[in-house]
Amino acid sequence: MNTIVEACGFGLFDAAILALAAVGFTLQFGASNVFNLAYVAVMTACAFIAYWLTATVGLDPWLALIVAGFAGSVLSSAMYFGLYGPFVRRGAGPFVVVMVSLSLLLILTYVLEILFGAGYFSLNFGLSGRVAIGALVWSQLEVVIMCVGASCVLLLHLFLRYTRVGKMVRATAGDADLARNCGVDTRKVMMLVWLLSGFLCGISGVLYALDTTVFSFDSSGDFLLLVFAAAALGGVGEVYGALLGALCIGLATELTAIVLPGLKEVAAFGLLLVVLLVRPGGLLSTGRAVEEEAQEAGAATW
Amino acid sequence: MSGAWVFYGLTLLTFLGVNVIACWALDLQFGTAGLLNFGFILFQAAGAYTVALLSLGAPQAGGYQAYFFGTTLPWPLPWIAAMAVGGALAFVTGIFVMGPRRRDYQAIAMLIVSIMVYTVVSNEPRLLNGTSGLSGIPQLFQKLGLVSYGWVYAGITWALVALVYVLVRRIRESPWGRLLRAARENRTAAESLGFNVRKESLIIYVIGGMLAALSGAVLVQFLSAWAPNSWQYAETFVYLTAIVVGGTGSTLGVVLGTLLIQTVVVEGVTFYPGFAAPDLVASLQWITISVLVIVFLWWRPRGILPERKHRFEEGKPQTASSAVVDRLDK
Repeated sequence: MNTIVEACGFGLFDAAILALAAVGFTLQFGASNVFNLAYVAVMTACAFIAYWLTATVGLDPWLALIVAGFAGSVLSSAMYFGLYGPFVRRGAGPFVVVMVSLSLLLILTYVLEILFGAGYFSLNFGLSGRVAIGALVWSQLEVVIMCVGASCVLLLHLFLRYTRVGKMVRATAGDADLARNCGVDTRKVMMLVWLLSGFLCGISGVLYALDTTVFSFDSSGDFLLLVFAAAALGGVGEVYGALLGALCIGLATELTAIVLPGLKEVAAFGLLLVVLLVRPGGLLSTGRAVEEEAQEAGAATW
Repeated sequence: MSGAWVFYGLTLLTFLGVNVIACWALDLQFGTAGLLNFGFILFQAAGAYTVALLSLGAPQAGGYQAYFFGTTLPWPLPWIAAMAVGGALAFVTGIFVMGPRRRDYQAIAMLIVSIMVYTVVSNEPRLLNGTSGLSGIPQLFQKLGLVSYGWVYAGITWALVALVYVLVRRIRESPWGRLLRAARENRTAAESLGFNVRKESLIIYVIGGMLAALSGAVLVQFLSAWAPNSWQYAETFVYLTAIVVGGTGSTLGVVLGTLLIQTVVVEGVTFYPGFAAPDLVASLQWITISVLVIVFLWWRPRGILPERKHRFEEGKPQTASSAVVDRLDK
């Protein structure tokens, strides 16, 4: 029983970090219909930027975190306005876009290798010591990460729920055409979405690097599918769905780790496969609306 | 020309043959069956592992490599078995993945399958020797010198390329091929003609899987070793680049694309002066390939040698992808 509780603790922790990444990804995907595979590469890039800022430039770690977040914003917006946007405006279908995104993922990954080499790096925020809450024992670092994650989620929630701009963001992410019809300036909101999701991407990248102790240029592959799984479980463009998805994935992977230690990601992958094929609209959807969309999409080859 | 250069040239020739077969397989799956298979490399790996398991003999307890099953079969049987395994894998994945759904979701689903299998194989050493992979696969003919073996092997590879070419052409130019292309463009119209799109696409997808496995079989018997390093998910991307650059749906275009990508880009970067570190070369290869894909998708999405326009008796030329490509061209 204790192992299960422990696993749930780990799961919650994973979920906290994953939540930020998943929300960012689902905002991007929902608002612009771009399956941005390069999202995880931006996460890794921001981790490297934070590393460079703390280790080489000597910046305060918390400041480095914020700067890395902004770096994520800049990178993500550049990708959208420089590349995805033009392709989409030209009428490129999901095939072309996802291939472009895979190319970007590889470009970013290997540019990082050229810049930083193939070694392993680690982010040091100067935290040590343990904290115990009931039966769950976490290290100070883990508690800090969870607090950062949770506060970001809370701020995001307040923004999306209670501000006018936040509602416009949610509307555009859920259904861009409908939002446009209701008078939302989707172009401006799109820019905001990519800036915001880029920021979340950057922060979550740094948090992931802190969590995994060591990271390298290739780390994107480790969380590639976890992020997509969490976002897909919640439904495209659904922010609260992504939070729920992150929780599911976090718990599922850690509970699977009890039984199959080396293969805990397989649980997440399996879940993602099921969602993509059976319930593309997310766990809580009916699946029918997305099938119709797929029929229309099926008419265009590219 | 010294023996080393001749052997290098023959190696390149063999790799080219293998890659051409693989790219035709991918193009069948993508250009004809309409499934963007981001997990393609898995099929090649399946063929390679099959040949390895059927050539290494039974696993020895305490031996230097562990695998779950092994035997020794005479030549061409492992290759034929590899094709069967590739076909079966395609059948199983195709059943689940094909159907009316978003094309990018299908692509990602296949990517996930290949990453899942990669994770399982890497982490479970008892299956296929984990990350170390399998090695020591015997050569086809034991008594030949290095260069002679190179000539023979290249000859066998290209004989297979010729056979596969005939097969692919026959499929493409047949009434069945035309129906498949029609279904690719407008599924509803094809279905209204009584064409069971799902079943027929699945057949093409399985043929593609078999050919991909064959390419793996030929490759592994040449390399004598195979490890997860050889089939990371990004390898699919190299093949995709080749067919995008060369021309999707065009048999010769694919050959041109493979030639360009393999020789000019992959090998060419190794000769670039001034780069000493081998890691840098690999990174540059990936970056070059990725940039090429983006450039081609933007300026020439049909590829260098696009799919031939088919003329029909009525005189009006029809391309298979005219409707959508016209939107992509300015």
